[in-house]
Amino acid sequence: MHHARRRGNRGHVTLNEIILHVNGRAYAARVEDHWTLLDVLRNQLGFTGAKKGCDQGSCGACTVLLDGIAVQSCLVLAVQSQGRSIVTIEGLARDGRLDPLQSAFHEVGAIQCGFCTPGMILSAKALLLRNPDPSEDQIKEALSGNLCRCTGYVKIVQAVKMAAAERSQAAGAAPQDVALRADPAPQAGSGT
Amino acid sequence: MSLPRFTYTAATSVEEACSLAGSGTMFLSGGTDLLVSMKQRIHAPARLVGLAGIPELHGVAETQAGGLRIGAATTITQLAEWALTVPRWSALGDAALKTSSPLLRNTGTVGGNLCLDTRCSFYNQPAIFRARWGACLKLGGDVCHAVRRSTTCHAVYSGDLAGPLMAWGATATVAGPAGTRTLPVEHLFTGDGARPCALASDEILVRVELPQPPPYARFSYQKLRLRDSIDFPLMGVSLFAAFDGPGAGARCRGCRIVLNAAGPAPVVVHEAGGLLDGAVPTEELAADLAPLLRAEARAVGNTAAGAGYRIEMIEVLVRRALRALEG
Ligand SMILES: Cc1cc2nc3c(=O)[nH]c(=O)nc-3n(C[C@H](O)[C@H](O)[C@H](O)COP(=O)(O)OP(=O)(O)OC[C@H]3O[C@@H](n4cnc5c(N)ncnc54)[C@H](O)[C@@H]3O)c2cc1C
Ligand code: FES
Ligand code: FES
Repeated sequence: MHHARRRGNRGHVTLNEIILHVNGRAYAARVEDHWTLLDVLRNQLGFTGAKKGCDQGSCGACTVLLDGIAVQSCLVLAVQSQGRSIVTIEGLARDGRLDPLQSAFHEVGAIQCGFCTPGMILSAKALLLRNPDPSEDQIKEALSGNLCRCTGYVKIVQAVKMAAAERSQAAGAAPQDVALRADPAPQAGSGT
Repeated sequence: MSLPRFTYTAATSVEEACSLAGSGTMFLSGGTDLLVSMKQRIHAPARLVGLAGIPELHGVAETQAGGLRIGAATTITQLAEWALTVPRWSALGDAALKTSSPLLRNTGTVGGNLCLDTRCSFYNQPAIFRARWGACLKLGGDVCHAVRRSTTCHAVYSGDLAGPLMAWGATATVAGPAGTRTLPVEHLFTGDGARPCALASDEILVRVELPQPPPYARFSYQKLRLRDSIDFPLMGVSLFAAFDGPGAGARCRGCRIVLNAAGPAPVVVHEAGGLLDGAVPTEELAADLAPLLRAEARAVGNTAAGAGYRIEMIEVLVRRALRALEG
Protein backbone atom coordinates (compact mmCIF):
# COMPACT_ATOMS: atom_id res chain seq x y z
CA MET A 1 0.00 0.00 0.00
CA HIS A 2 1.29 3.42 -0.84
CA HIS A 3 0.75 6.67 0.91
CA ALA A 4 1.06 9.94 -0.87
CA ARG A 5 4.39 11.45 -0.04
CA ARG A 6 4.16 15.16 0.31
CA ARG A 7 7.45 16.94 0.27
CA GLY A 8 7.96 20.17 2.16
CA ASN A 9 11.11 22.23 2.34
CA ARG A 10 12.82 23.19 5.55
CA GLY A 11 15.81 25.05 4.21
CA HIS A 12 17.53 22.55 1.90
CA VAL A 13 16.14 19.58 3.79
CA THR A 14 13.41 17.52 2.17
CA LEU A 15 10.94 16.07 4.64
CA ASN A 16 8.40 13.43 3.74
CA GLU A 17 5.17 13.19 5.61
CA ILE A 18 4.57 9.54 6.18
CA ILE A 19 2.15 7.45 8.21
CA LEU A 20 3.56 4.67 10.34
CA HIS A 21 1.31 2.03 11.87
CA VAL A 22 2.80 1.28 15.25
CA ASN A 23 1.19 -1.07 17.76
CA GLY A 24 -2.13 -0.85 15.98
CA ARG A 25 -2.30 2.96 15.72
CA ALA A 26 -1.47 5.27 12.85
CA TYR A 27 1.13 7.97 13.52
CA ALA A 28 2.14 10.82 11.28
CA ALA A 29 5.85 11.49 11.06
CA ARG A 30 7.99 13.93 9.12
CA VAL A 31 11.13 12.15 8.05
CA GLU A 32 14.10 12.41 5.77
CA ASP A 33 14.77 9.54 3.38
CA HIS A 34 17.94 8.52 5.17
CA TRP A 35 16.42 8.19 8.62
CA THR A 36 16.18 4.69 9.99
CA LEU A 37 12.98 3.26 11.41
CA LEU A 38 14.81 2.92 14.73
CA ASP A 39 15.63 6.63 14.92
CA VAL A 40 12.11 7.67 13.97
CA LEU A 41 10.52 5.28 16.47
CA ARG A 42 12.76 6.54 19.25
CA ASN A 43 13.25 10.21 18.50
CA GLN A 44 9.98 11.24 16.87
CA LEU A 45 7.36 8.83 18.13
CA GLY A 46 8.80 8.16 21.58
CA PHE A 47 8.95 4.36 21.32
CA THR A 48 12.22 4.18 23.21
CA GLY A 49 11.66 0.51 24.00
CA ALA A 50 13.45 -0.19 20.73
CA LYS A 51 17.09 0.13 21.81
CA LYS A 52 20.06 1.39 19.86
CA GLY A 53 22.96 -0.95 20.61
CA CYS A 54 25.41 -1.27 17.74
CA ASP A 55 23.32 0.52 15.10
CA GLN A 56 24.85 -1.79 12.48
CA GLY A 57 22.94 -5.02 12.48
CA SER A 58 25.06 -6.97 14.92
CA CYS A 59 23.23 -7.00 18.27
CA GLY A 60 19.45 -7.21 17.81
CA ALA A 61 18.65 -4.60 20.50
CA CYS A 62 16.61 -2.65 17.94
CA THR A 63 14.40 -5.63 16.96
CA VAL A 64 10.78 -4.82 16.10
CA LEU A 65 8.10 -6.80 14.30
CA LEU A 66 7.41 -5.71 10.75
CA ASP A 67 4.29 -7.45 9.44
CA GLY A 68 4.87 -10.07 12.13
CA ILE A 69 8.49 -10.73 11.23
CA ALA A 70 11.37 -9.80 13.55
CA VAL A 71 13.73 -7.32 11.90
CA GLN A 72 16.50 -4.99 13.00
CA SER A 73 15.05 -1.50 12.81
CA CYS A 74 18.50 0.09 12.60
CA LEU A 75 18.77 -1.41 9.09
CA VAL A 76 15.32 -0.44 7.81
CA LEU A 77 14.49 3.00 6.44
CA ALA A 78 11.48 4.75 7.94
CA VAL A 79 10.19 5.49 4.42
CA GLN A 80 10.28 1.75 3.66
CA SER A 81 8.03 1.03 6.64
CA GLN A 82 4.94 2.87 5.43
CA GLY A 83 1.81 0.81 5.17
CA ARG A 84 3.31 -2.02 7.19
CA SER A 85 2.43 -3.14 10.68
CA ILE A 86 5.14 -2.24 13.19
CA VAL A 87 5.09 -3.72 16.69
CA THR A 88 7.45 -2.49 19.40
CA ILE A 89 7.77 -3.77 22.95
CA GLU A 90 5.31 -1.05 24.02
CA GLY A 91 2.63 -2.80 21.95
CA LEU A 92 2.70 -6.17 23.67
CA ALA A 93 0.83 -5.42 26.88
CA ARG A 94 -2.95 -5.33 26.47
CA ASP A 95 -5.34 -3.51 28.80
CA GLY A 96 -2.64 -3.21 31.44
CA ARG A 97 -1.82 -6.94 31.26
CA LEU A 98 1.65 -7.99 30.28
CA ASP A 99 2.17 -10.39 27.40
CA PRO A 100 2.93 -13.92 28.70
CA LEU A 101 6.50 -13.48 27.44
CA GLN A 102 6.94 -10.29 29.44
CA SER A 103 5.54 -11.93 32.59
CA ALA A 104 7.76 -14.96 32.10
CA PHE A 105 10.92 -12.87 31.65
CA HIS A 106 10.00 -11.02 34.83
CA GLU A 107 9.15 -14.14 36.82
CA VAL A 108 12.15 -16.21 35.76
CA GLY A 109 14.58 -13.33 36.20
CA ALA A 110 15.64 -13.33 32.55
CA ILE A 111 16.41 -9.61 32.76
CA GLN A 112 19.53 -8.05 34.21
CA CYS A 113 20.43 -4.65 32.75
CA GLY A 114 17.44 -5.02 30.44
CA PHE A 115 18.99 -3.47 27.35
CA CYS A 116 18.57 -6.60 25.23
CA THR A 117 15.16 -7.48 26.68
CA PRO A 118 12.78 -5.71 24.26
CA GLY A 119 14.55 -7.19 21.24
CA MET A 120 14.81 -10.59 22.88
CA ILE A 121 11.08 -10.62 23.68
CA LEU A 122 10.10 -9.50 20.19
CA SER A 123 12.25 -12.18 18.55
CA ALA A 124 10.62 -14.69 20.90
CA LYS A 125 7.19 -13.26 20.04
CA ALA A 126 7.84 -13.73 16.32
CA LEU A 127 8.89 -17.32 17.04
CA LEU A 128 5.79 -18.14 19.09
CA LEU A 129 3.50 -16.59 16.49
CA ARG A 130 4.79 -19.09 13.93
CA ASN A 131 5.60 -21.99 16.21
CA PRO A 132 3.64 -21.98 19.48
CA ASP A 133 5.45 -25.01 20.88
CA PRO A 134 9.16 -24.63 20.02
CA SER A 135 11.89 -26.98 21.17
CA GLU A 136 14.81 -25.64 23.20
CA ASP A 137 17.01 -25.73 20.09
CA GLN A 138 14.42 -23.80 18.10
CA ILE A 139 14.27 -21.17 20.84
CA LYS A 140 18.05 -20.82 20.89
CA GLU A 141 18.15 -20.59 17.10
CA ALA A 142 15.41 -17.95 16.98
CA LEU A 143 17.19 -15.78 19.55
CA SER A 144 20.67 -16.25 18.10
CA GLY A 145 20.72 -12.80 16.51
CA ASN A 146 19.94 -11.10 19.82
CA LEU A 147 23.00 -10.62 21.98
CA CYS A 148 22.86 -10.40 25.77
CA ARG A 149 25.94 -9.39 27.70
CA CYS A 150 24.50 -10.05 31.17
CA THR A 151 22.40 -13.15 31.61
CA GLY A 152 24.21 -15.98 29.87
CA TYR A 153 20.94 -16.77 28.06
CA VAL A 154 19.89 -19.71 30.28
CA LYS A 155 17.05 -17.87 31.97
CA ILE A 156 16.00 -16.21 28.74
CA VAL A 157 15.48 -19.61 27.14
CA GLN A 158 13.65 -20.76 30.28
CA ALA A 159 11.35 -17.75 30.12
CA VAL A 160 10.43 -18.40 26.49
CA LYS A 161 9.66 -22.03 27.36
CA MET A 162 7.48 -20.90 30.26
CA ALA A 163 5.57 -18.44 28.10
CA ALA A 164 5.04 -21.09 25.41
CA ALA A 165 3.72 -23.54 27.98
CA GLU A 166 1.40 -20.93 29.42
CA ARG A 167 0.14 -20.03 25.99
CA SER A 168 -0.62 -23.61 25.07
CA GLN A 169 -2.51 -24.01 28.36
CA ALA A 170 -4.55 -20.93 27.60
CA ALA A 171 -4.92 -21.88 23.94
CA GLY A 172 -8.25 -20.89 22.55
CA ALA A 173 -8.95 -18.55 25.46
CA ALA A 174 -7.45 -15.41 23.95
CA PRO A 175 -7.50 -14.42 20.30
CA GLN A 176 -4.26 -13.30 18.67
CA ASP A 177 -3.39 -10.12 20.52
CA VAL A 178 -0.78 -8.36 18.44
CA ALA A 179 -1.70 -6.04 15.60
CA LEU A 180 0.03 -7.91 12.81
CA ARG A 181 -1.71 -6.21 9.95
CA ALA A 182 -1.52 -2.56 9.19
CA ASP A 183 -4.64 -0.60 10.03
CA PRO A 184 -6.61 0.73 7.13
CA ALA A 185 -5.17 3.98 5.87
CA PRO A 186 -6.22 6.92 8.00
CA GLN A 187 -8.80 9.26 6.52
CA ALA A 188 -7.35 11.82 4.17
CA GLY A 189 -6.26 14.89 6.05
CA SER A 190 -6.50 13.29 9.47
CA GLY A 191 -3.71 12.75 11.89
CA THR A 192 -1.08 14.87 10.15
CA MET B 1 25.72 6.25 13.56
CA SER B 2 23.61 8.15 11.10
CA LEU B 3 23.30 7.37 7.42
CA PRO B 4 24.68 9.90 4.96
CA ARG B 5 21.89 11.88 3.32
CA PHE B 6 20.39 10.43 0.12
CA THR B 7 17.08 10.37 -1.69
CA TYR B 8 15.17 7.11 -1.76
CA THR B 9 13.07 5.92 -4.66
CA ALA B 10 11.10 2.70 -4.44
CA ALA B 11 11.13 1.13 -7.90
CA THR B 12 8.09 -0.89 -8.93
CA SER B 13 9.51 -2.58 -12.03
CA VAL B 14 12.88 -3.80 -13.23
CA GLU B 15 12.75 -1.36 -16.16
CA GLU B 16 12.10 1.56 -13.83
CA ALA B 17 14.95 0.54 -11.53
CA CYS B 18 17.40 0.22 -14.44
CA SER B 19 16.33 3.58 -15.84
CA LEU B 20 16.98 5.27 -12.50
CA ALA B 21 20.52 3.86 -12.30
CA GLY B 22 23.45 6.11 -12.95
CA SER B 23 26.43 7.59 -11.25
CA GLY B 24 25.80 8.23 -7.57
CA THR B 25 22.92 5.74 -7.50
CA MET B 26 22.94 2.33 -5.83
CA PHE B 27 20.34 -0.41 -5.55
CA LEU B 28 18.99 -1.25 -2.11
CA SER B 29 17.61 -4.70 -1.52
CA GLY B 30 17.44 -5.87 2.12
CA GLY B 31 20.00 -3.24 3.10
CA THR B 32 21.74 -5.46 5.65
CA ASP B 33 25.09 -4.90 4.01
CA LEU B 34 24.77 -1.65 2.10
CA LEU B 35 23.24 0.37 4.95
CA VAL B 36 25.99 -0.79 7.33
CA SER B 37 28.72 0.27 4.93
CA MET B 38 26.94 3.59 4.34
CA LYS B 39 26.88 4.19 8.08
CA GLN B 40 30.62 3.59 7.98
CA ARG B 41 30.85 6.06 5.06
CA ILE B 42 32.34 3.41 2.80
CA HIS B 43 29.58 4.27 0.34
CA ALA B 44 27.68 7.55 0.15
CA PRO B 45 25.38 7.34 -2.89
CA ALA B 46 23.22 10.38 -3.58
CA ARG B 47 20.29 8.11 -4.41
CA LEU B 48 19.13 4.68 -3.37
CA VAL B 49 16.71 2.79 -5.58
CA GLY B 50 14.73 0.26 -3.57
CA LEU B 51 14.19 -3.13 -5.21
CA ALA B 52 11.90 -4.73 -2.63
CA GLY B 53 8.72 -3.40 -4.26
CA ILE B 54 9.38 -5.08 -7.62
CA PRO B 55 7.05 -8.10 -7.80
CA GLU B 56 9.17 -9.82 -10.47
CA LEU B 57 12.07 -10.14 -8.05
CA HIS B 58 10.12 -12.12 -5.47
CA GLY B 59 9.33 -15.76 -4.96
CA VAL B 60 10.77 -19.26 -4.90
CA ALA B 61 9.21 -21.91 -7.11
CA GLU B 62 10.05 -25.06 -9.00
CA THR B 63 10.26 -24.65 -12.77
CA GLN B 64 8.48 -26.86 -15.25
CA ALA B 65 11.82 -28.47 -16.02
CA GLY B 66 12.15 -29.53 -12.38
CA GLY B 67 14.67 -26.85 -11.47
CA LEU B 68 14.33 -24.09 -8.91
CA ARG B 69 13.80 -20.39 -9.54
CA ILE B 70 14.65 -17.91 -6.80
CA GLY B 71 13.81 -14.22 -7.20
CA ALA B 72 16.65 -11.89 -6.24
CA ALA B 73 14.60 -10.04 -3.62
CA THR B 74 13.56 -13.26 -1.89
CA THR B 75 14.76 -13.11 1.68
CA ILE B 76 17.10 -15.82 2.87
CA THR B 77 14.49 -16.85 5.45
CA GLN B 78 11.90 -17.26 2.69
CA LEU B 79 14.31 -19.38 0.66
CA ALA B 80 15.27 -21.55 3.64
CA GLU B 81 11.70 -22.05 4.82
CA TRP B 82 10.54 -23.03 1.37
CA ALA B 83 13.48 -25.34 0.63
CA LEU B 84 13.29 -27.14 3.95
CA THR B 85 9.79 -28.35 3.15
CA VAL B 86 10.81 -29.97 -0.16
CA PRO B 87 13.12 -32.98 0.35
CA ARG B 88 15.12 -32.58 -2.86
CA TRP B 89 15.95 -28.95 -2.08
CA SER B 90 16.28 -29.25 1.68
CA ALA B 91 20.09 -29.37 1.62
CA LEU B 92 19.98 -25.93 -0.01
CA GLY B 93 17.73 -24.77 2.84
CA ASP B 94 20.26 -26.07 5.39
CA ALA B 95 23.01 -24.13 3.63
CA ALA B 96 20.93 -20.95 3.59
CA LEU B 97 20.45 -21.24 7.36
CA LYS B 98 24.22 -20.95 7.79
CA THR B 99 24.04 -17.35 6.55
CA SER B 100 24.29 -14.58 9.18
CA SER B 101 21.58 -14.63 11.91
CA PRO B 102 17.80 -15.25 11.87
CA LEU B 103 17.14 -11.50 12.12
CA LEU B 104 19.48 -10.67 9.24
CA ARG B 105 18.04 -13.49 7.12
CA ASN B 106 14.56 -12.03 7.62
CA THR B 107 15.68 -8.88 5.75
CA GLY B 108 18.77 -9.92 3.77
CA THR B 109 18.05 -11.19 0.28
CA VAL B 110 19.50 -13.74 -2.12
CA GLY B 111 20.36 -11.01 -4.65
CA GLY B 112 22.08 -8.86 -2.06
CA ASN B 113 24.04 -11.87 -0.93
CA LEU B 114 25.35 -12.59 -4.43
CA CYS B 115 26.10 -8.92 -5.18
CA LEU B 116 27.71 -8.50 -1.75
CA ASP B 117 30.67 -6.19 -1.54
CA THR B 118 33.96 -7.89 -0.60
CA ARG B 119 35.27 -7.47 2.94
CA CYS B 120 38.63 -6.67 4.50
CA SER B 121 39.56 -5.78 8.07
CA PHE B 122 41.17 -2.58 6.78
CA TYR B 123 38.08 -1.61 4.76
CA ASN B 124 34.99 -2.54 6.84
CA GLN B 125 35.79 -0.04 9.55
CA PRO B 126 34.39 3.31 10.61
CA ALA B 127 35.84 6.24 8.68
CA ILE B 128 37.94 7.34 11.64
CA PHE B 129 40.00 4.12 11.53
CA ARG B 130 40.28 4.12 7.77
CA ALA B 131 41.56 7.67 7.85
CA ARG B 132 44.46 6.52 10.01
CA TRP B 133 45.57 3.99 7.41
CA GLY B 134 44.90 6.06 4.33
CA ALA B 135 42.93 5.05 1.24
CA CYS B 136 43.58 1.53 -0.01
CA LEU B 137 43.11 0.19 -3.54
CA LYS B 138 39.44 -0.51 -2.89
CA LEU B 139 38.90 3.09 -1.79
CA GLY B 140 40.69 4.58 -4.76
CA GLY B 141 44.16 4.74 -3.20
CA ASP B 142 47.30 2.97 -4.36
CA VAL B 143 48.20 0.65 -1.49
CA CYS B 144 46.89 -2.61 -0.12
CA HIS B 145 47.17 -2.60 3.67
CA ALA B 146 46.64 -6.34 3.85
CA VAL B 147 49.44 -7.28 1.40
CA ARG B 148 51.89 -4.41 1.35
CA ARG B 149 53.35 -4.57 -2.14
CA SER B 150 50.28 -5.93 -3.84
CA THR B 151 48.90 -4.10 -6.84
CA THR B 152 45.58 -5.92 -6.58
CA CYS B 153 42.94 -5.79 -3.87
CA HIS B 154 42.64 -8.81 -1.56
CA ALA B 155 39.24 -8.05 -0.01
CA VAL B 156 37.32 -11.29 0.48
CA TYR B 157 33.99 -12.24 -1.05
CA SER B 158 32.19 -13.31 2.13
CA GLY B 159 28.74 -14.24 0.94
CA ASP B 160 27.47 -17.68 1.90
CA LEU B 161 25.08 -18.49 -0.92
CA ALA B 162 27.36 -18.23 -3.95
CA GLY B 163 29.34 -21.38 -3.09
CA PRO B 164 26.29 -23.60 -2.67
CA LEU B 165 24.58 -22.12 -5.75
CA MET B 166 27.68 -22.61 -7.92
CA ALA B 167 28.02 -26.18 -6.68
CA TRP B 168 24.42 -26.86 -7.75
CA GLY B 169 25.22 -25.39 -11.17
CA ALA B 170 22.96 -22.33 -10.83
CA THR B 171 22.60 -19.58 -13.42
CA ALA B 172 21.83 -15.91 -12.86
CA THR B 173 19.47 -13.80 -14.94
CA VAL B 174 20.44 -10.17 -15.18
CA ALA B 175 18.43 -7.28 -16.62
CA GLY B 176 19.81 -4.03 -17.96
CA PRO B 177 18.92 -1.30 -20.42
CA ALA B 178 19.89 -3.65 -23.26
CA GLY B 179 17.61 -6.46 -22.11
CA THR B 180 18.24 -9.60 -20.11
CA ARG B 181 21.04 -12.15 -20.16
CA THR B 182 21.65 -15.40 -18.33
CA LEU B 183 25.06 -16.46 -17.11
CA PRO B 184 26.54 -19.04 -14.73
CA VAL B 185 26.57 -17.71 -11.15
CA GLU B 186 30.40 -17.88 -11.15
CA HIS B 187 30.46 -15.24 -13.88
CA LEU B 188 28.92 -12.71 -11.47
CA PHE B 189 32.34 -12.39 -9.89
CA THR B 190 35.27 -10.51 -11.39
CA GLY B 191 37.92 -11.89 -9.04
CA ASP B 192 39.03 -8.31 -8.32
CA GLY B 193 38.49 -7.51 -4.64
CA ALA B 194 38.14 -3.81 -5.44
CA ARG B 195 35.28 -4.31 -7.91
CA PRO B 196 33.97 -7.78 -7.11
CA CYS B 197 30.61 -7.77 -8.88
CA ALA B 198 30.58 -8.22 -12.66
CA LEU B 199 27.25 -6.42 -13.14
CA ALA B 200 27.26 -2.99 -14.72
CA SER B 201 25.95 -0.22 -12.45
CA ASP B 202 22.63 -0.16 -14.34
CA GLU B 203 22.16 -3.93 -14.31
CA ILE B 204 19.96 -5.79 -11.85
CA LEU B 205 20.17 -9.38 -10.79
CA VAL B 206 16.62 -10.62 -11.37
CA ARG B 207 16.77 -14.26 -10.32
CA VAL B 208 18.89 -17.35 -10.01
CA GLU B 209 17.87 -20.71 -11.38
CA LEU B 210 19.08 -24.13 -10.34
CA PRO B 211 18.83 -27.01 -12.80
CA GLN B 212 16.89 -30.11 -11.87
CA PRO B 213 19.12 -32.14 -9.55
CA PRO B 214 20.31 -35.45 -11.05
CA PRO B 215 19.05 -38.63 -9.40
CA TYR B 216 20.62 -39.46 -6.05
CA ALA B 217 22.20 -36.03 -5.73
CA ARG B 218 23.76 -35.12 -2.38
CA PHE B 219 25.03 -31.81 -1.17
CA SER B 220 26.88 -30.35 1.79
CA TYR B 221 28.07 -26.84 2.66
CA GLN B 222 30.68 -26.55 5.39
CA LYS B 223 31.41 -23.11 6.80
CA LEU B 224 34.18 -21.86 9.08
CA ARG B 225 33.31 -18.89 11.28
CA LEU B 226 33.95 -17.59 14.76
CA ARG B 227 30.40 -17.61 16.18
CA ASP B 228 28.03 -20.09 14.59
CA SER B 229 25.09 -17.79 15.22
CA ILE B 230 26.01 -14.72 13.18
CA ASP B 231 29.47 -14.39 11.66
CA PHE B 232 30.59 -14.12 8.04
CA PRO B 233 32.39 -17.15 6.60
CA LEU B 234 36.16 -17.32 7.04
CA MET B 235 36.33 -20.27 4.64
CA GLY B 236 33.66 -22.39 3.03
CA VAL B 237 33.52 -25.65 1.08
CA SER B 238 30.49 -26.75 -0.96
CA LEU B 239 30.31 -30.26 -2.32
CA PHE B 240 27.60 -31.34 -4.75
CA ALA B 241 27.58 -34.80 -6.26
CA ALA B 242 25.31 -37.06 -8.22
CA PHE B 243 25.50 -40.75 -7.28
CA ASP B 244 24.83 -43.97 -9.14
CA GLY B 245 22.48 -45.18 -6.45
CA PRO B 246 21.22 -44.66 -2.95
CA GLY B 247 22.95 -45.28 0.37
CA ALA B 248 26.52 -46.02 1.40
CA GLY B 249 28.74 -47.59 -1.25
CA ALA B 250 27.24 -45.59 -4.11
CA ARG B 251 29.76 -43.95 -6.45
CA CYS B 252 29.96 -40.28 -7.44
CA ARG B 253 28.90 -39.57 -11.00
CA GLY B 254 29.72 -35.93 -11.56
CA CYS B 255 30.77 -33.69 -8.72
CA ARG B 256 31.34 -29.98 -8.19
CA ILE B 257 33.39 -28.55 -5.35
CA VAL B 258 33.41 -24.82 -4.62
CA LEU B 259 35.64 -22.86 -2.30
CA ASN B 260 34.27 -19.59 -0.92
CA ALA B 261 35.52 -16.90 1.47
CA ALA B 262 39.03 -17.90 0.40
CA GLY B 263 39.73 -14.79 -1.69
CA PRO B 264 38.06 -12.08 -3.79
CA ALA B 265 35.72 -14.54 -5.56
CA PRO B 266 34.25 -17.98 -4.95
CA VAL B 267 35.87 -20.62 -7.20
CA VAL B 268 34.78 -23.93 -8.67
CA VAL B 269 37.72 -26.29 -8.17
CA HIS B 270 37.20 -28.47 -11.25
CA GLU B 271 40.18 -30.74 -10.64
CA ALA B 272 38.92 -31.66 -7.19
CA GLY B 273 35.48 -32.45 -8.57
CA GLY B 274 37.12 -34.64 -11.24
CA LEU B 275 39.14 -36.51 -8.66
CA LEU B 276 35.98 -37.52 -6.82
CA ASP B 277 34.29 -38.75 -9.98
CA GLY B 278 33.75 -42.50 -9.86
CA ALA B 279 34.80 -42.71 -6.20
CA VAL B 280 32.85 -43.76 -3.14
CA PRO B 281 33.22 -40.70 -0.87
CA THR B 282 35.09 -41.42 2.33
CA GLU B 283 36.71 -39.07 4.79
CA GLU B 284 40.15 -40.35 3.78
CA LEU B 285 39.78 -38.70 0.37
CA ALA B 286 40.05 -35.31 2.08
CA ALA B 287 43.84 -35.65 2.12
CA ASP B 288 43.85 -35.92 -1.69
CA LEU B 289 41.28 -33.22 -2.33
CA ALA B 290 42.53 -30.58 0.09
CA PRO B 291 45.76 -29.72 -1.74
CA LEU B 292 43.77 -28.98 -4.90
CA LEU B 293 41.54 -26.58 -2.96
CA ARG B 294 44.43 -25.03 -1.08
CA ALA B 295 46.06 -24.23 -4.42
CA GLU B 296 43.05 -22.04 -5.29
CA ALA B 297 42.83 -20.26 -1.91
CA ARG B 298 44.02 -16.66 -1.81
CA ALA B 299 43.70 -16.18 1.95
CA VAL B 300 45.72 -13.30 3.43
CA GLY B 301 45.68 -11.61 6.84
CA ASN B 302 42.59 -9.45 6.42
CA THR B 303 39.80 -11.32 8.21
CA ALA B 304 38.85 -12.22 11.78
CA ALA B 305 41.11 -15.30 11.71
CA GLY B 306 44.66 -15.77 10.46
CA ALA B 307 45.29 -16.87 6.88
CA GLY B 308 47.31 -19.91 7.97
CA TYR B 309 44.52 -21.21 10.16
CA ARG B 310 41.91 -20.67 7.46
CA ILE B 311 44.03 -22.59 4.92
CA GLU B 312 44.64 -25.42 7.41
CA MET B 313 40.91 -25.67 7.97
CA ILE B 314 40.21 -26.42 4.29
CA GLU B 315 41.06 -30.10 4.81
CA VAL B 316 38.84 -30.23 7.89
CA LEU B 317 35.93 -28.71 5.98
CA VAL B 318 36.43 -31.10 3.06
CA ARG B 319 36.48 -34.04 5.49
CA ARG B 320 33.21 -32.88 7.09
CA ALA B 321 31.62 -32.43 3.66
CA LEU B 322 32.70 -35.93 2.59
CA ARG B 323 31.34 -37.37 5.84
CA ALA B 324 28.02 -35.64 5.19
CA LEU B 325 27.93 -37.21 1.70
CA GLU B 326 28.79 -40.73 2.81
CA GLY B 327 25.11 -41.63 2.88
C1 LIG C 1 26.38 -8.65 11.59
C2 LIG C 1 26.27 -9.15 10.18
C3 LIG C 1 26.57 -10.48 9.90
C4 LIG C 1 26.47 -10.97 8.60
N1 LIG C 1 26.79 -12.27 8.38
C5 LIG C 1 26.73 -12.76 7.11
C6 LIG C 1 27.05 -14.13 6.85
O1 LIG C 1 27.33 -14.91 7.76
N2 LIG C 1 27.01 -14.55 5.57
C7 LIG C 1 26.67 -13.73 4.53
O2 LIG C 1 26.64 -14.19 3.40
N3 LIG C 1 26.34 -12.45 4.75
C8 LIG C 1 26.35 -11.94 6.01
N4 LIG C 1 26.02 -10.63 6.24
C9 LIG C 1 25.76 -9.74 5.09
C10 LIG C 1 24.33 -9.61 4.61
O3 LIG C 1 23.42 -9.59 5.69
C11 LIG C 1 23.89 -10.72 3.66
O4 LIG C 1 24.91 -11.01 2.75
C12 LIG C 1 22.62 -10.37 2.90
O5 LIG C 1 22.17 -11.50 2.18
C13 LIG C 1 22.79 -9.21 1.95
O6 LIG C 1 21.56 -9.02 1.27
P1 LIG C 1 20.78 -7.62 1.32
O7 LIG C 1 19.53 -7.83 0.57
O8 LIG C 1 20.65 -7.13 2.69
O9 LIG C 1 21.81 -6.73 0.50
P2 LIG C 1 21.92 -5.14 0.37
O10 LIG C 1 22.66 -4.60 1.53
O11 LIG C 1 20.61 -4.55 0.05
O12 LIG C 1 22.82 -5.07 -0.94
C14 LIG C 1 24.15 -5.53 -1.00
C15 LIG C 1 24.77 -5.10 -2.33
O13 LIG C 1 24.16 -5.79 -3.41
C16 LIG C 1 23.58 -4.87 -4.34
N5 LIG C 1 22.34 -5.51 -4.78
C17 LIG C 1 21.37 -6.02 -3.97
N6 LIG C 1 20.41 -6.62 -4.71
C18 LIG C 1 20.77 -6.46 -6.01
C19 LIG C 1 20.18 -6.86 -7.25
N7 LIG C 1 19.03 -7.56 -7.29
N8 LIG C 1 20.81 -6.53 -8.40
C20 LIG C 1 21.97 -5.82 -8.35
N9 LIG C 1 22.58 -5.43 -7.22
C21 LIG C 1 21.99 -5.75 -6.05
C22 LIG C 1 23.39 -3.59 -3.59
O14 LIG C 1 23.42 -2.48 -4.44
C23 LIG C 1 24.59 -3.62 -2.64
O15 LIG C 1 25.74 -3.18 -3.30
C24 LIG C 1 26.07 -10.11 7.55
C25 LIG C 1 25.74 -8.78 7.83
C26 LIG C 1 25.83 -8.30 9.13
C27 LIG C 1 25.45 -6.88 9.41
S1 FES D 1 21.11 -1.65 17.11
FE1 FES D 1 20.27 -2.70 15.42
S2 FES D 1 21.29 -4.59 15.51
FE2 FES D 1 22.32 -3.48 17.07
S1 FES E 1 20.16 -8.22 30.32
FE1 FES E 1 21.83 -6.91 29.98
S2 FES E 1 22.22 -7.25 27.85
FE2 FES E 1 20.76 -8.74 28.29
